[in-house]
Amino acid sequence: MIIREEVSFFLSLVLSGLCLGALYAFVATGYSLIFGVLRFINFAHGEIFAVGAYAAYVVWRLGFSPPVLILAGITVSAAISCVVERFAYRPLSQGRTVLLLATSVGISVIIRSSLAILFGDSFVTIRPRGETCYATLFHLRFACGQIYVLVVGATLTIVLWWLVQKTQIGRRIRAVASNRSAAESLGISKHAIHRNTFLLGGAYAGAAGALAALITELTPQMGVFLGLKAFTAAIIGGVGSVFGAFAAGLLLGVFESLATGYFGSQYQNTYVLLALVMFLLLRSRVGR
Amino acid sequence: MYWQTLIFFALTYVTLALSLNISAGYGRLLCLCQATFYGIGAYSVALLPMMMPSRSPARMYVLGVFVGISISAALGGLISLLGDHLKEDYFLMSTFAFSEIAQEFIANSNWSGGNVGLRLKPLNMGGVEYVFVVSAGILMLVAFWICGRIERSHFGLALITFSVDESLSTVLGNSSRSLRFQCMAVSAVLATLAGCIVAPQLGYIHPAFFGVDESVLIFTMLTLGGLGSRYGVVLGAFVLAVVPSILTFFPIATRLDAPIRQIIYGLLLVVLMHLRPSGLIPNR
Amino acid sequence: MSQANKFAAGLIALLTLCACGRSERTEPNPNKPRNLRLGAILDLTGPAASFGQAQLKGIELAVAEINQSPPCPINISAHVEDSRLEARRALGAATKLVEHDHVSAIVSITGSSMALATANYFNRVRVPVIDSLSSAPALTTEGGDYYFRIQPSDSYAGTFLIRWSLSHLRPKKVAIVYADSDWGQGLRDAILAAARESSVKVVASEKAKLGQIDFKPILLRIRREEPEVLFLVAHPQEAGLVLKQMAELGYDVTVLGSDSLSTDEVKTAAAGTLDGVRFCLAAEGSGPILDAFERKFLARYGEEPDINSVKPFDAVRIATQAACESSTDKPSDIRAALTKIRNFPAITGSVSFDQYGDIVDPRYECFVYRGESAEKMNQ
Repeated sequence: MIIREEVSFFLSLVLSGLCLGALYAFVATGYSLIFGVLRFINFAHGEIFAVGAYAAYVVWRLGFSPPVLILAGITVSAAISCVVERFAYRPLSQGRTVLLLATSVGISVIIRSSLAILFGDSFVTIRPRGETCYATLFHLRFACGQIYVLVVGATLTIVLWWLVQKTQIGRRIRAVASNRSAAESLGISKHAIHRNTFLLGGAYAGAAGALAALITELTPQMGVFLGLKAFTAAIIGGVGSVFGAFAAGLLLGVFESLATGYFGSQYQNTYVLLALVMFLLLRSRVGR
Repeated sequence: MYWQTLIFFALTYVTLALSLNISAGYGRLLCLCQATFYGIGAYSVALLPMMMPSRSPARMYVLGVFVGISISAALGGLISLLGDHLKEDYFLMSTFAFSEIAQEFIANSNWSGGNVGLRLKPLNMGGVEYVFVVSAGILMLVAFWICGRIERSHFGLALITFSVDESLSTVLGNSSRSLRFQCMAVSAVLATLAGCIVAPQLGYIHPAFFGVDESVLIFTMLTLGGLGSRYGVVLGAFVLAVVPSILTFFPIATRLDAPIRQIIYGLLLVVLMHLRPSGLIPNR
Repeated sequence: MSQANKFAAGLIALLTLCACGRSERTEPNPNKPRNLRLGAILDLTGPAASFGQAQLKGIELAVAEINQSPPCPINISAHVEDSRLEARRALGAATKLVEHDHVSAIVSITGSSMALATANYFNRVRVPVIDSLSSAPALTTEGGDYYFRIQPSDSYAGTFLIRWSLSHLRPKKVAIVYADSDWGQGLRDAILAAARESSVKVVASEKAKLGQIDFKPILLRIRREEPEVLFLVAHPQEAGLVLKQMAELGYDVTVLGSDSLSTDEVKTAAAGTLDGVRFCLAAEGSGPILDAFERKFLARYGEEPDINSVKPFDAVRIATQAACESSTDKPSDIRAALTKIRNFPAITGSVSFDQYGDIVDPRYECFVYRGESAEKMNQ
């Protein structure tokens, strides 16, 4: 049946897009959180994602199973993210955005080169044991890696929602993001908020990194490539809006997948970026 | 000859940073697409002689320069209009997107040589080898002089007085819009001219030379030097252009050579941002 | 304004200083065994370092071998510079080799883009290049009179891949997945051209971007078009992922690729999914002359030689031969001798250059994976 094939084609693309989108969404969350609170684009955030991926790889080499890999990714990335915040960004938090921008460029170079030194320039993979692992549901093939991404992704999303909406940390971050000066006057400790923002953003980037390590190959450059897309999603979703960034990340992944599937891979990036520019223009017309 | 190449590129980067200073430092249009204008210049002068091989290469080169300048000035103007509508951060993002789109467009097209790059037909500029290096120096001086003119003008003085970004547009009102338009156009043209000079000197161009990485590098040079401070910008650009090459004279274990140098470069950047937040030579 | 004037004066002084740095070339003494200086611009620490390092080993082995038993009274030395696959650095290396080290010929450049970047310069200073790795079709015309290479142009590869697939697999529809780089693009264009001439329909031509994670949309799209053969000309990293994801999708189609599919990296990344994958590459050579090379390589380096070490070894030998046949060390004379080279017994086969400096009549071999290892197939 042609219709069934078309539907299957469409759904396979959506599935693929959701997995990729989950990665974008998690990393975009970090960009959004950091931008909301510190008001700058953290160029080094993509590298935090890469760090999480390599942490997962190292733990895999030590012989642990996937859940441990995810935890490793989360903890290592969160830690590195906080360290960078404390020593690189905090002293400049009163300065102009451009300073933080330039500093983050420097940090991204440092992290990327460190990964190249530790793991070499070429790529490494986590090799699954045995045959290619997959499951079939409704005539759709789910690769095991994809299942993992979806399940863990969904779980972490719920956790994120709870953290941001229901906990004090989340409330405070949102307060600072929406009105910096008012939040300060209410006595909310700025440093604690900054640290927690980077902690949260880093943790989710690390989770994305660990998941990515399960489905793709790792290179020191991987943070750059994914960071760019995730950062685009964060903008589309609206800076300061964590769930906007998250939703945008998922949508971006699906959009990219569908566009490539139906129109080809030639101008993939261009479609995405044009969408970004048009979106930005629309937002400015509607009002800030 | 090696030093000559190094100085040539240092001069080019200083020019590019100064041109960005005009739009971002004075005009307060923080854009991440300077390398695209640079690329327009390079590709114009590379493609025109190739498209019309029967005409004299020197004449086609000059035509290429004019075509490049026209395209860039027009684009620059459009971008500045965009800048009036969007908030600083969104504008930054849009120019970044523009830079990516342009790079992908060139890399995908066959007429531009795509990912293989373009080799330029050699130009016989009267057999003088140094004409491009000297041109780079002259262009840099021109850019420097233009910055000086802006700094001394009413617009420049007003900028120094009202140094807070947000209130600038409200205070200066609509007169600032046309001035910023001009800043952007001048900035684009200077970057294009830099591209026109680099392309024949290098003899080969590739889309990777004119992408976002390059724009970010130029932006970083500007930030290091200090926005709105032309002496600072020259120093900052010079440092960032020359330091990686100087570092090659300190060889380390072969395989780790490149990443370690990158780390030193990154650390240098971070430390300098902390020590001199207003730039190496800040605005007086 | 005076501060700016001082500034300008300083700048002009700096420029003048640069203009004064020129060096002279000295003529060698014709009575002693000649010193042949050869240069190479390799990627030793950059993205293609694995290639550059392999080439370096081939060159060093050749220098040692030739100096032990030279074909004529000559003593050769190799001067190697690191390009890190950056055009600016390659240009700097080129000028250093010619003006500082006074090389008479270049025996290898890592990467077609580096070869293109330095082509203008080498043609201007009239120093011949005998390249061993660059395969971009553009170099045939854009390399200039002083550019020669023993690596066949990818236009041959493209024609060969199509012709081989026609005779063995007889496809009516094919698809291409190509790398987003100069190499991938060159091969894609070559395959498209060859397909047009043989009336094979290319139903999809999809780009595999460097660093891309998810190839399933591309593969799904290609699957929908139902080609009989999929040409996979992507870099090892992406090629490995493509093969793995094809298996995950359950997409079973004949895959035919190029040299990237022969690498260890692909074997690691796509482990378990390689069975039946085919690839063709320029002939490595065979027989006693190759065995002798392999033995010497093993003795010197303690490891098996990479294909990328064989060609630079040959390039050095060819350069030496040309220098022996030309009466002087002047690079332009060496270049003239190169154009006259006919049927030089290189390890990879017999070498003659055509008017573009390309190798005449290159040979290709095809392999198929059975399990994890590749077997040579009959032509």
